[in-house]
Order: sequence, then C-alpha cells, then structure tokens
Amino acid sequence: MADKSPRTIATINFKGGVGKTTVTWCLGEVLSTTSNMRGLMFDLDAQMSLTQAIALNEHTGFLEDRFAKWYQTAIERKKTIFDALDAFTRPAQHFDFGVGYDFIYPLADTFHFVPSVEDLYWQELEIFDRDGVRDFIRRLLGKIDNCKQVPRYDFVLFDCPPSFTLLSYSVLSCCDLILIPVNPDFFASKGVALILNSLRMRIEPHPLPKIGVFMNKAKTYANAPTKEVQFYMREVKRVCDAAAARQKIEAKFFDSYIRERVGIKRAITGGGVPQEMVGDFQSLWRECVQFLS
Amino acid sequence: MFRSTEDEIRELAAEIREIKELLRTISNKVSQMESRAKRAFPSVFPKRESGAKVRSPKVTDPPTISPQEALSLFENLLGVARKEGKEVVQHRLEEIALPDLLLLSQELGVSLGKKKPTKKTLQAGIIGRINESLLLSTAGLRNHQQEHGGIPQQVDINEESPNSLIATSNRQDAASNSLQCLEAEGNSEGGPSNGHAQDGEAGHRQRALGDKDEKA
Repeated sequence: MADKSPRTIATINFKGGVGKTTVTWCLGEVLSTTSNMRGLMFDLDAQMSLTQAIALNEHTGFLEDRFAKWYQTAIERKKTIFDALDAFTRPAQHFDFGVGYDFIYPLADTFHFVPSVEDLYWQELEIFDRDGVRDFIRRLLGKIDNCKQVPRYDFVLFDCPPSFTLLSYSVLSCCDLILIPVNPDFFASKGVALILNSLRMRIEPHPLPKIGVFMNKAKTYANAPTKEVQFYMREVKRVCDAAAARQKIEAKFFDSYIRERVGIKRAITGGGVPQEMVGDFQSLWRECVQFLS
Repeated sequence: MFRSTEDEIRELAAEIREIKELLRTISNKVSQMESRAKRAFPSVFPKRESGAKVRSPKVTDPPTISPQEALSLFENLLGVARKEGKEVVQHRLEEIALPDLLLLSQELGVSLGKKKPTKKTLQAGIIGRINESLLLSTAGLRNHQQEHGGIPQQVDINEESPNSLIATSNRQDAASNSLQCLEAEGNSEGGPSNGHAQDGEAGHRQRALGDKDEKA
C-alpha cells in the first residue's frame, strides 16, 4: 500500500449546503479510524468551514488550543496553502516550498489536515494565469509524497469551495475522482445537471476525472430511503447517465447514500461520526474504489 | 295571517319539505324515463369506458396496479409528456382510478397533506413530479443552443476559450490597474505601487492584505 500513489478525491458542488465539508471530513475520519489507511485532507474553501469546524472547541466556543497555536505559527512562518500557491506562482524556476508538519497538521496519527486560510479569498485577484496554477496541486502532492517527515498517504481528500476557483481548477485537473454530494430536492438535483454539463468545458483541454455522484442527507423510513428520496435518486441517476452520454464523461450515480441524521451536523465539532453512520461512509468508499479500479 | 314569527317559520319549513318531496318525485320520474330511453335507444347515450369508473372507487379501495407498475406508468407518462405535451398526460390521468393515482403519488413521494386526497390533488402532485423530471432532463442553455443549430457567436465571459481568456486577462488587467490606483491613493507617502511581477514576497502578501483593507 505504501508504494502506491494516494487516491485523490475532490468533493465539489457549486450549490452550497449540500454537505461537502461534512462528507469530506466524515469520510476521512471513518477511513482513518476503521482501516489501516492514512489520509490527508485539504480545506480549499476560503470560507474555512472545515478549518473552523475542526478548530472549534464546542465547549468553549474558541479555537482549540493546540490547533490555534499551530495555525498561528503556520501563518507567521508563511506555511499556509496560500503561501504554497504564492511560492508556486512566483516567477522562479523551482517550486520552492518545503512541506512538513509546519504545513500539515496532524489531527490524529493516521489523519492529517492542511487548513484553509482567509487569504484564499484574494487569490483570484492576485493570480490571473489559469494555466500557471493548473499544476499547483499536482506538484504540491508530489512534494508531500517525497517528504520523509510526513507519512505516505493512502488517500487525499479535497474540500472544494462552492464555486469554480483557480484552486478548484488545479485540483480537478489532477485528482482521480470528483465526488459530488447531492440532496434530495429539485434545486440540488438541478445543480448536478448544471455542474455535470459544465465541468468538461471548465477543465478543457485537459481530461476530466471520473465523477461519482451520491445522495447525501437522505431521509429514511424503515431503514430505506423514503419514496421522495427514491424519486430524486432515480432522477439524478437519469441526469448522470444523460450527461455521461452527452458530454462523453465518466459520471456515475452511486447506489450508496448518506442518511440524514441530526448527530452528523455536530460530527466535526462534537467528537466523531455517529456509530450508526460509519457503515454509510464505508459503503461510499467501497463504491468509490470500485469505480476507480 | 300567522299568529307569530314562530308559526310563520314553521309554515315555511313545511313548504320547503313539500317542495323537496316534489323535486325528489320529479327526479325519480326523470331517472325512470332516462333508463327507459337508454334501453330503447342505447346508441344515443354515450357509454362509459369501464364499469369501474361508474362505481367511482374510493381512495381507500385497494389499487389495481403494483408499485413497480406505478413507476413504469410514470415513465410512460413522462414519455407522453415529452412527445405529446402535458395536456395529453392530464387526459391520461383523468382515466386512472383514484386508488391507482394515490399509489402512483405515494411511489413518487408526493406530499399530499391529507389522508383522503382528492383526485385533483393527486393529479396535481403527479403533474408536478413530471414537470420536475422534465426540467431536470433539460440540458443547460449552452447545450440546448448547440443541439438546436449552432453556437452563438457572442463570447461568453464564463467560457474559458482562448479568446475569452484574452478578454478575461484584459478585464483582470483593468481590475489590477484600478486596484493599484486605489493603493496609490491610499498610500500617498510611499509613491505609486509597482506592478505585481516586481513585488517581493512581502509586498505580495501586503497587497493581499491591502486589498482586504480596500474591500473592508
């Protein structure tokens, strides 16, 4: 496993509130705690939802001390994702940016994290050259892969912003799988149609990775999706199949779904994925691996 | 002449009862005449399509189709809506019995809000699902234009074609210039700001922070 390059998965949806951040974290958490895999997770959203959720101490309402100190140091030493991007876009021959535990925060022994930073808000104004940014994530992953200080990761997850930024472009042009969570309602389903029909154009001329779409926040009754959820699952599957045929992309609607549970909203800040939902994420991962192989 | 208002009302109620009785008798007579006429001239009277419709089954009656058949019926209706329009679907729904409509609505997850919904409510719910499905299967405007004869000549600012990239770059240059002007105005002691490429690392971050301040 150690010799293999990690599976890279980007969670993206242009619609906000579908559960990108929660799913990314829960997937990473479940994989790193229930298997012997090591995972790395990036927060690429300038809104910093994932970073704040991880750092938020639910009892005090403040940044957790250990993370707060580390984060402050990373900003002072210019070891954030924005600084890495800044170093990459600087007119120099080499991508001069060292990666280590000053750049990667160990959430747990087997689950590490690269937080977001407010400066990402301004990257679109600072950097104009789309193609100049394209290889950024690929090169950064290469650096991480070659770094002896950090372990070899089995999977890398990216929490992308709900818009198409330069970083999204960089991630999508090099990741193995684009994971699109969708909710069982009309607007979310329509959002999938829009993203599937526009992603290829946004990535062109580079090939689009495989796209896996799955239902998140699925209401259930008697341990099965409700009829309404089933209706939207059928419709989104239809949308995926049509987009795959029309756009000549590899898009698949997964049979796995993540149930709607109150506990999951507090999973990141409140201490873990609810036990009853671990199976949901394991099924999702199995289907991702199956689709990628 | 009546003795009191109460007597007057009592008399009025009696008259109403009498009229109702009279109308009931007339109705019975007309029904008898109609059934005789039907027997004598069956071709004149339009036949109902099925016996089940005559009995008009209630919502609580068991459906005549299975859940799988209901879903294939929905697919069928969807196809009809695409090819022949929603009016035809409406006519098809009129012909479906109430328990089957209820089953179809339930299989589609339509929120009915009542235990015994009316036929109109059920039809509206199913039509709503058909509309959703049709809208979801409609591709984006750009694809629609490509499918229906030609890509518009107008340059789309969101599309990253080589030409639009130049246009985007020009727009961003303009944005950059305006930001530099703002910086220069805000920092009159330091003189005009240099271009982005000449900025050092510190200047680069400073610019980002400066931009933030400008935005604030």
